[in-house]
Parts: sequence; C-alpha cells; structure tokens
Amino acid sequence: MSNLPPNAEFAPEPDSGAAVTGQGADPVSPEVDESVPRTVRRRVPRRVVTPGALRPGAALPVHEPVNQSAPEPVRETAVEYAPEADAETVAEPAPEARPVLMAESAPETRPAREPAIESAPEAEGQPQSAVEPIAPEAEAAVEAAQEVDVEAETRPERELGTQTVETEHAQAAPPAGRIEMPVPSVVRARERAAAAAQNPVVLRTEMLTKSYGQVHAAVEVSLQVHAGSFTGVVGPNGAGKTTVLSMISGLNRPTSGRVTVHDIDVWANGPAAKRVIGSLPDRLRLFDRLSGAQLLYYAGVLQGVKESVVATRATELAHAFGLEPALDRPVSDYSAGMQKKIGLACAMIHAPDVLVLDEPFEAIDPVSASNVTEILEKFVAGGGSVVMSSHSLDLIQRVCDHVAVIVDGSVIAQGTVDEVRGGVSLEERFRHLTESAEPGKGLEWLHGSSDSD
Amino acid sequence: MVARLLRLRLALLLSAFRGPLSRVARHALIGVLAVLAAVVLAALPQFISGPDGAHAPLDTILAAVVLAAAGIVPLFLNRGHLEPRQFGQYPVRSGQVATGLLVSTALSGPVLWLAAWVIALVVLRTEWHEAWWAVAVGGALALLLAICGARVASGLAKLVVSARSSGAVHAVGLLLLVAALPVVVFAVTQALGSPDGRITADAATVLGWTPVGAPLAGIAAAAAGDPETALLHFGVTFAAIAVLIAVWYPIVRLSLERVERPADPGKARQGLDWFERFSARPDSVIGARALTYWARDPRYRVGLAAIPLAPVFIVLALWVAGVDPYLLALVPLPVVLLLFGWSLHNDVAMDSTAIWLHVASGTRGAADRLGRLTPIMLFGLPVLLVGSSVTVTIMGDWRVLPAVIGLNLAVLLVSSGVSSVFSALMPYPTTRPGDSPFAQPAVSGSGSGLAQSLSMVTTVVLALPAVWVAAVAFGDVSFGTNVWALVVGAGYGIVVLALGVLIGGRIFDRAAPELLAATQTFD
Repeated sequence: MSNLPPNAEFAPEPDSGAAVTGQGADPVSPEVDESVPRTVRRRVPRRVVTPGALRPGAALPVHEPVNQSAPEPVRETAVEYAPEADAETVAEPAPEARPVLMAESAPETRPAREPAIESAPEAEGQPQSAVEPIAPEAEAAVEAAQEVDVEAETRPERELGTQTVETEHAQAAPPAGRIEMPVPSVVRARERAAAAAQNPVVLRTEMLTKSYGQVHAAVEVSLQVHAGSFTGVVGPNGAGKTTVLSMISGLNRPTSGRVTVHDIDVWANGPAAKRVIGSLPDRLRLFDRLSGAQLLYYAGVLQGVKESVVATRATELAHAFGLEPALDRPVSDYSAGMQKKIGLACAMIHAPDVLVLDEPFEAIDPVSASNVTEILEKFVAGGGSVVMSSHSLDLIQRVCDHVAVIVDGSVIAQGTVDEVRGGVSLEERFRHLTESAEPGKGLEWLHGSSDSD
Repeated sequence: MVARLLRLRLALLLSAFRGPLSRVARHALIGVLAVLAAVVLAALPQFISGPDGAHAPLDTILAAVVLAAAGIVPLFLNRGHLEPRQFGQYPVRSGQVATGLLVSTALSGPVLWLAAWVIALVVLRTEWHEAWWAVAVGGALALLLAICGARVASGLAKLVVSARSSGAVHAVGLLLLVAALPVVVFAVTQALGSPDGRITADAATVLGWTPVGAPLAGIAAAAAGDPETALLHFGVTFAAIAVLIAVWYPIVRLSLERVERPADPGKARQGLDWFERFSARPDSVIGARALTYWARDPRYRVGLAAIPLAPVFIVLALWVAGVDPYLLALVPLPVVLLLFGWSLHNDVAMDSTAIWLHVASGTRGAADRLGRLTPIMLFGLPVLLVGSSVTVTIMGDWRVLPAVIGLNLAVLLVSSGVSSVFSALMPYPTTRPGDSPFAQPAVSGSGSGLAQSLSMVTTVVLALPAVWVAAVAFGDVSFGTNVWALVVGAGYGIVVLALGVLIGGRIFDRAAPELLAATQTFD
C-alpha cells in the first residue's frame, strides 16, 4: 500500500470525460449543492459528492475481507490514528482495476478464499448473507464517526467512516500473502447513499397520478432522485413501475402531477427535458431493421448529438457493452439480452444526466449484467443518476443506494436502501410492506396429499 | 503556362494513339465514327427539307440543342476534365491557369468533334459561301461558346459539388436525361417531320435570339443578305461569351483558393448505407431510416407492388366505357402517384412501438413528418418526370407537357401532405414488424376503414383545384394556360404539402404519447 499525494484524488476520470470531484478533505464543500448550473448541460464537470469508494484515479487494491469483518474496537482506535489527509487516500478500491466477474460474484467466490481470512469465518461462510453484515456495520461506522465527530470537528462524518475502515486495515491487515479483493457493489452503494443525499435533487416527481378510467395505475407518486444516486424502483407485478417510469421519461402522459428534471418540466417542455433524460422502456420495439451501428447513430442524432461526436461515442459504447461483433447485423437478429444492451447504449449516447431504465437487467446474462452494472456505477460515480425498476430485490439491494417501493400505484416506502429495509433483508421487508399472504395458502388441492381423494 | 498546357492537352489527346495496336485501332475507329456522326448531323436538316427547301430553322434548332448540350452535360459529367484544382500546387497565378485551360480546351475531344461538325456545315451549305465573313465569325463564335460554356459548367460543378456527392449529381443528370428524352425526341421528330411548319419556324425564331441558336441564325441572315441582323445575332452570342469568360476567371481563383471540406465529419456515417448519404439532422436520418426500411422490410414492398396494378384496371374500365384514348393516356400516372403518396397514411403504425424513440428523444413532429416523405419524393419525382414525358408522347401533343407535370406534381404533393396529417391523426392496426407482409394485422377493426377512406377522399377533394386548372389547359392548348397549370399545380401542391407537414407535425408534437399508446394496443 502506497500513499498517494493528496491531490491524486482530484484526477479527472479518464473515460467519463467529466472531471469528478472526489470527496477528499471537504466533502460537503459549499460548491457541491446549490451552485450546479442547471440549465447549462454537461461539459461543465459535474460537481457532485462521490463516495470515497468510487474516487477516480485511485487504482489501489483493497483487503476487503478484513474491512468487512473487522471488530468495532479496532475502528474506535483507528479514528485517533487517522488525522492525516494522505492516510485517507490509502485504500481506495479501484473501479477500473476491478475484475468484472469478481465484483459481482464476490459473495460466491468468497468461500474459496477462506484460508486467507480465517479471522472471520462466519461472515464469509454463507454467500447469501455476505451482503447482509455490511450494512449494519456501515451504519455502525457512521455512528461511531458521529461520536468521534465532536473530537475531530473539522472532519465530516462520512469521511471519518471510510477513513476509519481504511486506517484500520492499514494496521490490521498485514500485506503479505493476502488475496486482494475488490470492494463489491454493495459497499459502494452504501457509501454512495450517504454521499448522494448531499447532492441536489435532479429528478422530482410531484403527485404523479395516472388513471385509466376507474383503474389507477399510479397514485400521487412523489419521488426525489439526487444527483449521483442509483435509485431502484421495486414492486410486485402490475404495481405501476413501468407506468411511473414512462411518465418520467415522457412516454406516458400523467393524468395529473408534475415531473421535473433540473427544474425543467418534462410535460411542459418536453424536448428540453428529454435532452437530459436517457430512457430504456421495457417491452417496446426498437427500429430493429437497422443494424446495430445504424441504430446507435440514429438514436444519437435524434437525441441531438453532434455528428463528430456520435462516431466515437457509438464505438465506445459498443465496446463497453460488448456489442462490437454484432454492430453490422440487423438488431432484429439480436438476442433479447443484446437488444437490451443496445437499447441501453442508445439511451446513453447523448450523455444524459438521468437514466430511466425499465427492467434493464431482464434477459441479460450474468457476465453482461455485471458489466452493465459496472458501466452504470461509473455513470453514477460521475454524478449521473440512474432510476431503474427491477423485480430482483437482490439486485436492487446490491447495486442501488436508494429504493422506492411501489404497490398498487402508490409509493409505500422510499429512501436509502438501509432506511427502507430497516435492518432486515430487503426481500423480507418488501414482503412485510406488501403484506402478501402466506404463500401457498389456499392451494391445498395442489399439494396432492391433503384432499386429493 | 498557356503553351505548356497546350502541350499537355496535345499529349493527352495523342496518348489515345499509343500503346497496343488494338487500343489504337479502337480509338481511331471511334474518332472516325465521331467525325462521320458530325457530318451526318450537319447534313440532316438539308436531307430532311430537300435540296432546295428552307432548312435554316432546322439548322438553328439543331445547333441550339448541340451548343446547349455542350454547356449542360459538363455540369453532370466532368470527371475526365482537366480542372483548375489540379494546378493548385504549382506557383502559377490563377489568371494564367484560367487562360491556359480555356485555350487548351480547344484541343479536347468534344471541341474537335464540334469543329468537325462546324466544318461539315460550312462545306455542305453552299449558299453560305458568299457571306464568307459571317460563316467565319459564326463558326468561331459557336466553338468559343461551346468551349466557354463547357468550362464554366464543369468548373462550377466542381466548385459547388463535393467529390463525395458527384455520384449523386451524375445520377440526377442521368435521370433528367431519361426524363427529357421522350419529349425531346418527340419534339425534334415533330419539328423534323414538318420543316415548314409554323411551330418549327416559331421555335427557330425564338432560339435564334438565344446565345446557343444565334451563331447559325446570324449566318443564315447574312447569307440571306441582311448583315445588320446577322451582326445583332452575333452580338448576342458574343455577349454571352464575354459573360462566361468574366465568370470563368473568378471560378478558377475560387477553385484554387478553396479546399473541399475534409471528409472527417462524415466518418460517423461511414458504412451506414443510406445514413451515409444524408446529413446528421433528425429529419434526414428519419428519411434514411425510412429508405432502409423500404429496402429491408417486405411489408413496404408488398404495399408498393400493388400500386402499378391499380391504373391498369382503371384504364381498362374506362376504355371499355368508351373514353377518348387521348384523355385515357392522362389517367395512369396521377393514379399511381396518388396511391404512392397515400401509401404513407399509416406510416407511424408501421413503425409499431419503435416510435418510442422519436417520442423519448423529443423529435419535432415536423422533422418526423418530413423524414417520412423522403422515399416518396426520392422515387415519386423521377417517376413523375419520366411518366409525364411518356404521357405526352402517348397523347401525341408535347405542348401540354407543363400542364401534365403540374397536374401530377399537385397530385403527388397533395397526397403526401394529406398522408402526413393522417399518419399522426388516425393510426390504425397494421401488420406488425417482422410478421409476414401478407398476414392480417393482429388487431383488426378500430377505424382502419374510416382512416383509409377519409384520407383517400380528402386527398381527392384537395387535388381537385389543380386538376381543374390542368383540365382547362388540356382543353385550350396554349403556352400561357399550360405554364399557368404548371405554376398552379406546383405552387398549390407545395402549399398543401407544407400545411400537411405543419399540421401533422403539430399533432405529433401534442399527441406523441397517445400515438405511442395507440401503437402499443396494436402490437
């Protein structure tokens, strides 16, 4: 582990194009929130607080298992040891350096690495719960940080939280013979949750309602999405997720209510608002007689991208989504997952500030899914916001920092993932919120043994 | 510089006679045949009008056609020419390049052919020999006009049209030729058929005062013992040559100073078929997309295949009913164009739910409408030109050509305009993308009959004013009524089309989400 110079964290991210301000020494600096030039689109670096985990340019490995299973007392002491500005840059996980597969399947691969981390076997043993222990721990970290905050007044809380963790393995983790593990999405998501709360709200829906006669598909939906946050929209089938998302992206006119992006009303000033939104609807066709390259170009030009830029963006997106070999084939020949991916690429080609994605991971294979997650996390790290719906609570819990639960067209819970789930797993919480009856009740006839005779 | 360019020209000319024997023989044969053709062309008027008939009008008309071609053809066909830009890297003043090119053009193949034609004329027209000064001046003026006209035309074309789009310009030229050929052939044969006719004489008089017809008209006047008129004719051509030379020098200077825009911005479109040929604006890419779909999606082809069949049945029915064949010849083309424009009236539904991309990107309705018109205009206008020309040939009266073009333009533009409104206003279920083009729509009913009949009736009703004006022109065949019919047809059609695009675009802007919802119910 080497020490980076303090200003290394301000290095612009090489591929996002927009310089990103790392949290560094003053994460809640005044320029962060209200000074965002809202009408001026992009090219101005998005000044957004990003969690330390996603700080660009810091391509250093992390001994993450220790990080997870570290006992509390160590952290307490660690706080005192960590006043130096350069210490906090030590253990940055590296989004770029992180191997794609490892990041996503980290819980699963962990048991294999058990010999290296005997100190915390119970946390490592069950892959499913690998996600679980982190959040309470992170909360505790924040709590701890708040306690210390009085002493270290100059130091904002969240930073202390990360810092403690880092310094602690500067102490506790002997560098020799350890297997270096990248930080999984879930840790970044938790860190991001606190960071994003500091950012201005980019997308706001106010009392959004959609009725089809007597049927109410969405009832007074009010959501807020901060810059640099990854928001998941979950709900049972037919709850109105697609309706809400398509009202946000301007595809489905609400019966009443308002949607604003950067204070531009989507339904009053559509063309301007749509320049900052990238959308991927579910179950709508693409212009699939075009080849992949043609479709990307088409979408880029329609969304107002200059011709000189379209070419490079299209190639880079195709490369990022692994679509290069298929670019010359008609999109109608693509598999469902590839169509999702080219749709995603089309949604991103105009570098929007907000991505509204309806079921982006449906039909995408696991490897590509982790790839897509990585792309989206980078997008969020650069200050963009993602709103996505999914059936997979596991996925939402893993990659999202905020979540909104929609049931029967109304939002019944929203906030950071930790707030919403309140200590239990999201799935459990979700089941509780939706109050679904005992599964299988009333299906006795199906079970054969009871009353089949 | 001038001498050097002349030597270069000579070398280029003689290079045709170097190399293998077969190649030399081929070029020599071509040369001999070309000279023979020139002699035949020169002899043609005399041959037609008889040994002592009045062939002067025919001479003037033919000369006008030949000299006009010398100025028009290089606009489209100029790849083989020496051009100013080729000398851009040498330390020469643009004036020298211009003079050198102008002078050295005298040694090019086409000009030598024209010279052969002029010499043949001089030799064959024995009655001119007394006014030898007029023959010399007229012949020289004709050659000079041809040289300057060709140079200016090719220079302008090279300056304005980029090398990338020269293929398209070539195609346009070919198309115009194809479109004009029936009428020109018809008009010329009619003129040659009645060398003493009033039409021929009138045409010759008019053409005699244009720069292209004036040289021979002047010679004829001098030969008839009227040197003042001859000088006036020559003056017209001389003035034209002076203007052309005055234009030529700035063209050369501009060509040497300007560089063609580099191809880099076009890179985004490389290898994207139709998208390569259209600019990166929403309406253009929608047009390119529409063309791609027409080529790749069988649903469009099947829809179009039926269009040529419709007029066959209509003409048969009318013929059985005993309609005058003269009027019958007018019927097929408007019917085809009407159906062609009308075929667009459910275009949004053909896209199915893919239209979401236009909605989500905030594409302007007018751009969407305009883009969809691209294939109609790209194929409709050539069909219109060629078809109109064929129509008047069948009718046997080329004087109604303007009215025929006006009528057909109005029908095509009106039907396109009405379709632009209806495809945004009343989409109805159609075959889904990827389904067999012969399959029934997945969802039926819900206003398909209404939308079809309403759009058709609207088109026919809106086309009536232009049809009426054209009918008046057919009844009273005069130049004035015909040109009026053309102006009214084109102007009225453009107005209706513009209104259709604006109204349809407005509807699209306001109701795009509802349009998307409608296509979702069809899918």
